[in-house]
Amino acid sequence: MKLLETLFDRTRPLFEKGGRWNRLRPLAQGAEAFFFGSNEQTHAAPHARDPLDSKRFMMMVIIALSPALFASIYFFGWRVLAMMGVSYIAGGIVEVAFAIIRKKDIHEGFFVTGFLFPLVVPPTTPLWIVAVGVVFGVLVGKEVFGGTGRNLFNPVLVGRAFLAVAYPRPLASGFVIPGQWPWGRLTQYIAPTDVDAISGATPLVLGRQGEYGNLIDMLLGGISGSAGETSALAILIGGVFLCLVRVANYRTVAGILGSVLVFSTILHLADPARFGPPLWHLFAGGLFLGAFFMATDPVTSPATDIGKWVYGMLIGTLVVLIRNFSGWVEGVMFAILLGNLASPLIDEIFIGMRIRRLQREG
Amino acid sequence: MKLRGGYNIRLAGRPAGRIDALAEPALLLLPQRTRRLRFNQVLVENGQDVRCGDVLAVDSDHFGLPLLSPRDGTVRLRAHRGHITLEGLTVAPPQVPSAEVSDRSYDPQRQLLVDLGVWSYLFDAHSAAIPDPAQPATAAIVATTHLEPFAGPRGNLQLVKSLEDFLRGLDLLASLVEGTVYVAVPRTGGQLTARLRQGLASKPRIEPIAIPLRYPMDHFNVLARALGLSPCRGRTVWGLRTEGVLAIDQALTRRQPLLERVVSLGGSGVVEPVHLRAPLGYPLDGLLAGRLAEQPLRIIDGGILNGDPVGERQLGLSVESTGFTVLLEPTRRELFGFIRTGLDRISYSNCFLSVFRPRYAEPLTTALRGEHRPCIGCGFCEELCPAGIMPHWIHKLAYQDALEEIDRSGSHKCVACGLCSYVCPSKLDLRREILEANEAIRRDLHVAEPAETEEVAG
Repeated sequence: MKLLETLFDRTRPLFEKGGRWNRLRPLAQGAEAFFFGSNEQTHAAPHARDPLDSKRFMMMVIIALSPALFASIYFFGWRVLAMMGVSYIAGGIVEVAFAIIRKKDIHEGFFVTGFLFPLVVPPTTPLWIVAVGVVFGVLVGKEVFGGTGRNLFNPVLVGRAFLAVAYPRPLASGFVIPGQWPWGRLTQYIAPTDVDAISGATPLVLGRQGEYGNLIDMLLGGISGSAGETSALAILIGGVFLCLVRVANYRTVAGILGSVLVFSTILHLADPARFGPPLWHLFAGGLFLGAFFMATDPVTSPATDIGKWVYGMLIGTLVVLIRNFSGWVEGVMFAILLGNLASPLIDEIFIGMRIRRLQREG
Repeated sequence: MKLRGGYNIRLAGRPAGRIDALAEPALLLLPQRTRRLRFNQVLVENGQDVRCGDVLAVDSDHFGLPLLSPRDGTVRLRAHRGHITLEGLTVAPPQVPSAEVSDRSYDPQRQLLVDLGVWSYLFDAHSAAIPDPAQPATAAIVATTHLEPFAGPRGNLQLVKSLEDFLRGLDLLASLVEGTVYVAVPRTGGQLTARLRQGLASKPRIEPIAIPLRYPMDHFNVLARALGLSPCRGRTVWGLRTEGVLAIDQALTRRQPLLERVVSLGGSGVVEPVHLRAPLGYPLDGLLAGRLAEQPLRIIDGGILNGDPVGERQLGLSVESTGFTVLLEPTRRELFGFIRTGLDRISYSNCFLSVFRPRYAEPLTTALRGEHRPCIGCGFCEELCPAGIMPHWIHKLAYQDALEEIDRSGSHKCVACGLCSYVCPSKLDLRREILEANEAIRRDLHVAEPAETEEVAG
């Protein structure tokens, strides 16, 4: 550790202004920041600071996502890890390239994007498609807007939506039947060429045909779907954790899940033959993953508390509308992207109201 | 009463509940600049012998508030830059300014407070400036505690021995203001607060208000707003602390001038955190000698959230000193800090395992503890803000230089408590940004307004 610190101290001048490798400074800085905490000090009041930094903030999301990753490996085999490796490398190259061009630090927001992306695509998506998707997501979803903190859309979903439109076949047929108790697919690596033998339709596709699966299976994960969305329970554990550490805001989650529940109950009562039961809607597809991990991204959601409720309810309503009244079987991705689009408007309305109230108070 | 926001920072090194006396100093270094005052008009000459209580200098911009000599001694000017030095000290009873000498600009009681140097204990509750002695006060707010760690002496420590004096001081204060004297008492079940409430119960124009024991609920501006006292031209609301009320009592009942202060000395860099009673001008070197840890430190005049680092500018205890907080400077960098359990660090978020640890204090350092990043919109600053404004929103507007928008977003309500900067995971200097924006607004927007109306009128 001491050795590493000395190494960074020794090589730092090379990357500083006037140094030989000045252009690669973001890379060196990123590597140093990965190992060591910042060595900056405060200059004026407040003289001390809270220990939470954005690295820890992002780390919390990854910790919260790990149950979903473990569930994914259990049900779909080790290929998920290969997808994650590809996602990190391909997206990382874009992130580093932009940091070097912009002469800014590498931001840790990418660690979440790279982790989340393989979890929202089918478990046997060809690796090159994963790479294309994450590159598109990071590039168009984030970097062109100015990087982490300035993006309008969730980069993961931008990449996912791009794949859904550009490569509909592999994305629709890459779902596999999950492994069974007790060993799942822990010993397997399913290449895209093996899919035909074990491909399985997702609950939402089956739902269109009037087959509503077993709720216990859907809760624990015995259903096919995107790599990370299969086990509602694993996502719930991580998601509740994320709300408790206050990285995700519970208002958004409650807004989404509550409105899906209410809206789909109304539809189901109106015509049980046509519309699926509310709890089925709740556990099917990527609703939990989207509600806990993507809609709650603070950058792309509204800033005010009441705005977060409205934003959540808007997404929830859109999910039910898209699932029941459109050609797409799954609506979470588009619903959250539309929510992202509405979020500046929601902010405008509620921050405007807030400011008018502040002015009245004098 | 509606108080929102706020958060307690649990900094290690809380001053012990006793007041230590200090050895008689060899010389006194009286700073001519304090937080709000500039003693620019020096009335003594180099080498002149002065008596205890003599006026050494006055602040001509602030109603001629005097800097009094705390001891008999010989004046040395220009020995230390920005300070009046006093040598060859002997302890003597203070000279009391005779009523005839002072040119009675104000009503006699107020004039006495000005002459005895006690006026500097008073704050304008809205602007934190020195209130004008000529202006009537519509109300006074007394905060019995310092909630910022460790900006000043604990209220209970001062009250436990002098509750009678305090209550008499409140009566005297009530005679100086037109309206009510509000006494902010922490919402705790202590014996002292019960006795205090009991003592206040029979007083007609004095009203106790219960405040949560949470920073910055003791802030005069926050209290004034919660009480619905809005700023109003030509009239002021006073804010003062326990020591101010005690000083008023001393001044008006015993004609005792302000010659010494009780200061708190706390923080992670202090070996034995304690309260100290010292004459004004007591050299800081002597005050801190033997009490600090042996490693790089930052000494702060005031608390960690609002104080200024003690630099070359301040060598002795000033008229406005309330406490010194000493923070350690970080000595080593931590490996993989972002995945550590965090049992040893307290965060406003629950992102560290310390949430499972019973209450403890953290040896905070001056480390920034992270890298500067763009705002991610976590909303912590807004949750904490006692003024109910949106620091993240003002940050966005400041980025666009939209001064009018910032003005409309209520930035003038900022009480500079510093919690937004403290808690920001992106380590943005929100407090400074808001203060700078307010400064720019005063300069560019509000100054222009009267000129325009004059033109229209002409």
